[in-house]
Amino acid sequence: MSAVAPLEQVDDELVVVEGLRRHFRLGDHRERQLVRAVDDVSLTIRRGETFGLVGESGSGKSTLARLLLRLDEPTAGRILFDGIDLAALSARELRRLRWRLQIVFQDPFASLNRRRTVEQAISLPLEVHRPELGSAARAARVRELLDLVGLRANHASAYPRELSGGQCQRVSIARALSVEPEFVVLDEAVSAVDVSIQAQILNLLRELQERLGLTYLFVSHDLSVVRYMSNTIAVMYHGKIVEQGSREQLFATPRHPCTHALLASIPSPDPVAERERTPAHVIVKEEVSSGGEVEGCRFHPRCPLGTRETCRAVEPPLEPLEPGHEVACHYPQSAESLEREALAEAAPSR
Amino acid sequence: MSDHVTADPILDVRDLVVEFPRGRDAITPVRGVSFTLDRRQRLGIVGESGSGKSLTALSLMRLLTPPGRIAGGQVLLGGQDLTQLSEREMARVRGGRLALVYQDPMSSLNPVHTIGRQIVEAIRTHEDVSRRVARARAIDLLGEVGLPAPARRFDSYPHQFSGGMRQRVMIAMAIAAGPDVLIADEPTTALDVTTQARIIELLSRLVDEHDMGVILITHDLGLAATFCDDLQVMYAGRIVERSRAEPLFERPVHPYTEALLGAICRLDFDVTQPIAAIPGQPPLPQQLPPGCPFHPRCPHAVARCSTEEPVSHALPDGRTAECHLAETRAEVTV
Amino acid sequence: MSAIAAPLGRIVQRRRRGTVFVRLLRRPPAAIAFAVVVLLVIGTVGAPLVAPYPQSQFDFTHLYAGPTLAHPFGTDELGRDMLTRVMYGGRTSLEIAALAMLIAMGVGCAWGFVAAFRRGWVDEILMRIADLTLGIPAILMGLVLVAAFGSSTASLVLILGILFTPATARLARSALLSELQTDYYLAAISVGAPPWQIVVRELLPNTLPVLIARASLVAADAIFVEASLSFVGLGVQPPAASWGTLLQHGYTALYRSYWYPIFPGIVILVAVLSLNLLGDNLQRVLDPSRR
Repeated sequence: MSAVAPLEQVDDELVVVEGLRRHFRLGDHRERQLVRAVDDVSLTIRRGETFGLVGESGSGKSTLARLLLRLDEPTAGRILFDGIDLAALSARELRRLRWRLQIVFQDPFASLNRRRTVEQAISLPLEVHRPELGSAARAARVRELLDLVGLRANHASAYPRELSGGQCQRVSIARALSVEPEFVVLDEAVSAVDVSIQAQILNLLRELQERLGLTYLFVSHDLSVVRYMSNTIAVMYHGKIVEQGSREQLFATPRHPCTHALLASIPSPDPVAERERTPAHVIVKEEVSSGGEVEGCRFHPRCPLGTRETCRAVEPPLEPLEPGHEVACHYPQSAESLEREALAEAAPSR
Repeated sequence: MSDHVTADPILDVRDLVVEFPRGRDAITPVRGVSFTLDRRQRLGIVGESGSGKSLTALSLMRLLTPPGRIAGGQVLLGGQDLTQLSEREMARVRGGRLALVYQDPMSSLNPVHTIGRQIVEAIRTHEDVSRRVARARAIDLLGEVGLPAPARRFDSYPHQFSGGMRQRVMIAMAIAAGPDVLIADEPTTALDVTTQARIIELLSRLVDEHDMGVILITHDLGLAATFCDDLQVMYAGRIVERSRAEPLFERPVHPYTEALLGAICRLDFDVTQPIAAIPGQPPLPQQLPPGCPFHPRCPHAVARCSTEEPVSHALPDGRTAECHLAETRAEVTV
Repeated sequence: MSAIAAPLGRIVQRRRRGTVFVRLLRRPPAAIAFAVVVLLVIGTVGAPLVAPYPQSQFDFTHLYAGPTLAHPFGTDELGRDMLTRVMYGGRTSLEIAALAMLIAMGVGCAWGFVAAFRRGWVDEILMRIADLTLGIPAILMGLVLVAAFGSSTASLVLILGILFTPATARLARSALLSELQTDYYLAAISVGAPPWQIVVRELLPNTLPVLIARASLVAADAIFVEASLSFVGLGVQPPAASWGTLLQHGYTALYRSYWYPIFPGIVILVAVLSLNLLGDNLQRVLDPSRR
């Protein structure tokens, strides 16, 4: 339904996802509720780029990230990594492939085993995938990696509780990079660290990408961080990609009301600019209750134009506006024109 | 818009010290914090984790977890020193004249009771009114904080609401007894950005309508910029800079404030350039460096900074900064 | 590298030195409990070497004698030294408790871990069985099982083992489940580590504190239940004696000599209490997050 490349991979496409779904059931036997955490998502990540995935909590972006690494089993759909169908691999084959895809999680402390030292954490992937290395060579590689992520050699014998959040996150990055992967998923990797540390980690990640030729999937709720990191950006809402495009397209000409809302909500550290901009509530309504299935466009309950018949009845497909820029909206338009239309629509009913 | 000319601030914190005894000595995460708050003032306390900002909030409420304790200073609420009150008297102040909204609305609401019941209880704890009156008031309050169809949702349970709506319920409970001071400790950190903006807007409206003073504790300078009239930046247990909001963002005096502003990933950043990160880590309260606690990370540090802890320098327009170079920097940056 | 190689101001804190054992003994209650347990083990297991009298040396001139220097715990209805009897009786009690504990921990952990790993119907069935058995009081269960299997030492070991298995399985399951939800577990999977390595090196060490504490608790409970069964005559059968049978004999002679049951009772109490203390402290020492 959406305009993705055919499944035969073009040379520079590292990850191709086609019709990916992850549904699960919540609640007890009486009150079963089907949750479509990821619902028919297709995307392509090119070698060497950073693909940004942005959305509110519950948009399914973290589930999608985990599906890509097969840390979670998809309900339907295909994931091709460098031409290999991940879903078709046996557990053993998958394990052997795992060094090529790595992940860094949000919580710096929870992603390290509290009983294992920094050195043990970083050498685990080496022991698994490079068994030919002796313990001396492994220790040397650990030192090298510590240096790479800006930690000192004497951090090797430290336990996670002896480090700060930012330092733990560096250890997680070192662990992910130890076996020289091609693709790294950064799942809210800077969301739990302080502002000053966040800047350090972002710079580090970009520097490492350049040096090691990495491909990133950068998952975050923070649009300004996603913008800074990514070449291609997809906006997710309730399990679906609602808008996708290059950084320039998405920030210069955003078209989906959900993207407008995200953009309008970022507080800028400048009180003067703050007073002048459009408050977010002009654009979208707030979600009142949690959960529940939605007919038609899944954004319509919060959209200023959501009262329209089409929006309530028909789910809009993700369609290209221009090459590379796709939107799933019946009435894609700029924020200004959306606002005008919304006002015009609201006027007669008063 | 709000010039606080009142002689008597509603809240006056003087030289507050918080310590955690450990063995023979003690860790002091809050090292002498003083500030005042007027009615209708929106005060922001900004800092990174470990700066002591949340402990400051908790100690105002006298909710420090033992062995943490207020080791010095006064907290004067309407002239009454809260540090001298008995636990019973303090319980009346808490949620009465002084209210707190926390980060996580889910864990601060009781999941087995309806939100209506919880608000009614909040009202009746501090005021002797009948259940019917309290119910009517609670519905009014829920409407006031922007919960759609409050009468219908009165009997709903917390899990039936979105995160933003839960935080609105928390705010309704906090203002139920008509507090003089509302402390909002990272009230939007657990929420989505789109919701965050609305909650801040709600708080802003309530400040004027209820004639309260609000302290917003946050790590997010952007958020502070949208809400606050006055800002205080905390680092290593001290308020290192205080100022009206606009001049602080225009020309920060303390090098830490300047560095923090530079480290924020902005929407208009040049993506080809690295972000101006602050090197190093914030110090731990048990390992404060000698002299100015910021000097190991400070690009402007001089010899004196590593030996002598700076005192607060008063600058024009009521600003202060705890930096040896404050006067020079204030002139340079003007 | 300039931006990131900047000095990391934080000095790596010094870890608390010393092995688990040394850190354990630094806690006064744990040190006392440990000393008591060691004393009990020496006194009971080493009874033939350290007991003041041979096991069945009668002295008909001193029946039901009170505590004296020669007989600190007094003597029984046949003039045997009670201290000696308590020591030999403890051999039986501790032996049964230790073996039962091993069974309960071994079977229980395997059961709980399988349930946690497989989830789904395996989990459901295993846990419903556990719930079912947990709903019946331990003593009652013990009585039923004794009626079914008899009360030889071997069957007592088995019965007590079975008795404490379901609760252990539940604990092992929940301990492992909470580890399975952590990011570091996901990280180990995403790294491609083989399952056995993840279990042995990443997961087990983190569940160990809870399980070790549980083990000493099971041992304490086993001593207690064995004593109870023996007290009602369904446990260890004469001529063998355990703390429970001594207590029972003493109880029948309560009006003639009040100290007869008191010493076995005190020893049971002390043993149960110190094992509990030890388990509690071990858990604290082993768990780094609790320091």
